[in-house]
Amino acid sequence: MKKNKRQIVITGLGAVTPMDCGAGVEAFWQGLCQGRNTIKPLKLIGVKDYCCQFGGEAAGFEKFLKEKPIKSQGRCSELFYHALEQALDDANCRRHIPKAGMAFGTILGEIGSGQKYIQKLMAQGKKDIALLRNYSLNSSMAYFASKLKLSGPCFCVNTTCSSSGDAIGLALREIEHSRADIMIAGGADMMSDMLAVAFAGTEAAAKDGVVRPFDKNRKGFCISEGASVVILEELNHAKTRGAKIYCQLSGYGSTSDACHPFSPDKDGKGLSRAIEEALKDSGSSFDSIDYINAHGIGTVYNDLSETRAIKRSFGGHSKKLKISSIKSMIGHTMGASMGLDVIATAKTLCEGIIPPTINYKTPDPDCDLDYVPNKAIHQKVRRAMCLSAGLGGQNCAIVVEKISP
Amino acid sequence: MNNEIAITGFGCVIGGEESLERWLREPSDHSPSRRIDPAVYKSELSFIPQGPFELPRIEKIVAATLQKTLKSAKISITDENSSRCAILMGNTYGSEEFKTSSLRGIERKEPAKIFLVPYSATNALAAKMSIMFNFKGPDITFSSGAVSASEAILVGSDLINDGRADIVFVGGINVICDDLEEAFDQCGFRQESCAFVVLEKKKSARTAGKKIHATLGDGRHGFCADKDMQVPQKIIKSFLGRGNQTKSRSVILNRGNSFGEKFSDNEKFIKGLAGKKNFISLDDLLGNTFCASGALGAILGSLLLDGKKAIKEVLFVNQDSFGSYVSMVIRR
Repeated sequence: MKKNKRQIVITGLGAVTPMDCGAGVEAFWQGLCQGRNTIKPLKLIGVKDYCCQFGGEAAGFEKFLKEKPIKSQGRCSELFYHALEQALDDANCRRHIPKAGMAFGTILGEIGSGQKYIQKLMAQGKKDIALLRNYSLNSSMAYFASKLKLSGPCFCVNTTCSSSGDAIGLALREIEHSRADIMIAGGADMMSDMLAVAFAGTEAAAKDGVVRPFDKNRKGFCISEGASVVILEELNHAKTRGAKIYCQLSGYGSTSDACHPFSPDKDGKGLSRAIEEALKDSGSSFDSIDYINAHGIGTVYNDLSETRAIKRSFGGHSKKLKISSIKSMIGHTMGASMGLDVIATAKTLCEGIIPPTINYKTPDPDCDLDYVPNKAIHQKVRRAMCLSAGLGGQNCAIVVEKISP
Repeated sequence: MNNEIAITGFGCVIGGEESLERWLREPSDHSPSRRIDPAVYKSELSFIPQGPFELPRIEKIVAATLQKTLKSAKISITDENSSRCAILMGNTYGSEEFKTSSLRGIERKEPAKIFLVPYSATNALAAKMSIMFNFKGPDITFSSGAVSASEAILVGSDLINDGRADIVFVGGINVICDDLEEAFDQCGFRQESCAFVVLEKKKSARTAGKKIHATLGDGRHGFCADKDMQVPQKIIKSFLGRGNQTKSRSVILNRGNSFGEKFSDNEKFIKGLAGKKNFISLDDLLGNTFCASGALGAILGSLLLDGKKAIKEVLFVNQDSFGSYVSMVIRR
């Protein structure tokens, strides 16, 4: 750990995914450990004309909502709200929340409101300003910041797949720079026609609905929806109030490939630099990392690029690493994804179980690391890393580790 | 944020005009175009190789503004410094022309456009600029409405102070499309704009003999559920101080009203404290500039310090009608 730096810990977790469908973090975690596949035929949207008809939907999560507080916000806000309430209850920190801030990551936000705006415009020629207001990417963040009466820094970021990761990383910085003692951080994205059109219509989509990260026959990823929230807190603040501490968030790195609008750098150089930035930030050596929760979306180029990045940064130690991708089970939850990776990795550190990469049948000689195939394993993990390689080349790496007694 | 971060360059395009200084000197003598025509920036865009597809209009505007900014700061991006260059952009609505036309296409059950995500996602601009200009450091888009670029300035300053970047380009874009034009008009939109500032460590800039337009001082950000914005009022009151201190300090305020939201602003309060001469409303000067306001306010602060020798410090307060606020002190 770097000296003379405020130490930041995770004290609360909240998640909504196709795995738990709103039943909470434990249900999410148990499903990951069981290696359950939640990618199914899509029902929330009309996919008849799209080539990929499969994805992950958090169907029925609404029944777990304590209340339906949102009059005009849409599904993205509801997903985030449920994860937020879980995290706040888990951290038992509501008394301290008015001084907290919020960092929210999303790719499309309340895109449903944007779609309704256009529908109304085309059908009736009317411009519904209320729908347009909700369509603003920061509307979910602002709605909950207002509801919770937050006074700390509150902002919304978008770095595609890395959105919630960068939100968590920037929240870390706010506490490090003493601008907050508690930050709510995470992200959300909802299932929508726009999402289906944008990704499901491309060659990157797994048309058979099977996500096979790092497998030789991998065909792509599946779109999904979800929400992730972590409560970040300064260590002494957490200890003073007797908070339960999951783990420490010790490093964050963010870089750009600067090479192509939709393909990653084939040699993984950009992601490798993010890995090294995060390691340097945490004051850790590369060989102190036991496990990597990979981006692992299941496309030919992304998985290859990520493997190369890991080898570049970890050298011979890469052969000793355990690496797995939870996207094999829940699909790509877009703006929520890296936050869910952090939540799963926090549980790994606490429980000593590494979730598997499922659907792994045929090894790829170019992706020849240990991806924890098909079955979870018991292993004590002291320090781990979460990775994300966002579309457009926006890379993010986060280091989490067990808290020293 | 400490006092070591300098603004070493800036560039802006406001409805086809390029000089914010001229807006400041002659606020009423302008006839800007509502929409920026990228065709007038052929020389700034000449570095972009011709590809099989036409660049979207919004990308041309941002690229031209960034190119002007690079020239202003006399910066060359090389393989040696590219990993230490970051781009942080304020952009809440993305490339709306492309996005809303895609939403219309969905309604008409048209086939998916292959460039939908890379062209319309809100972060796509920053990502594309990273590619065009070879910025390999952090590349993050802030979508916090009016305060987006101001948030980015605080984060950019942290990056430099923490040693994670040497040069940070912070910008914001305000571009409309047919489907959103009327709504934007209701929020006080007058003309499209794009602006960037360059942040560098003051010591490094001095050593390199660069012009230092201004130095960033204390910066704060937060959220005010209370629409009277009492916290920013306290910041403003504390900044203005008393007596001679007040005379040497100016305040720039961006109200950031959006979508007809009634939002109590601080204008009356500030004028009462600072006096009319030492107060500028960014909204009154340029209309609602949405996500470009953060960068434009920082540029305006630098110009004020340059133009009025009696002013030693400027406080720029940026508010978004959803409740976020950012304040930053800009000094000589």
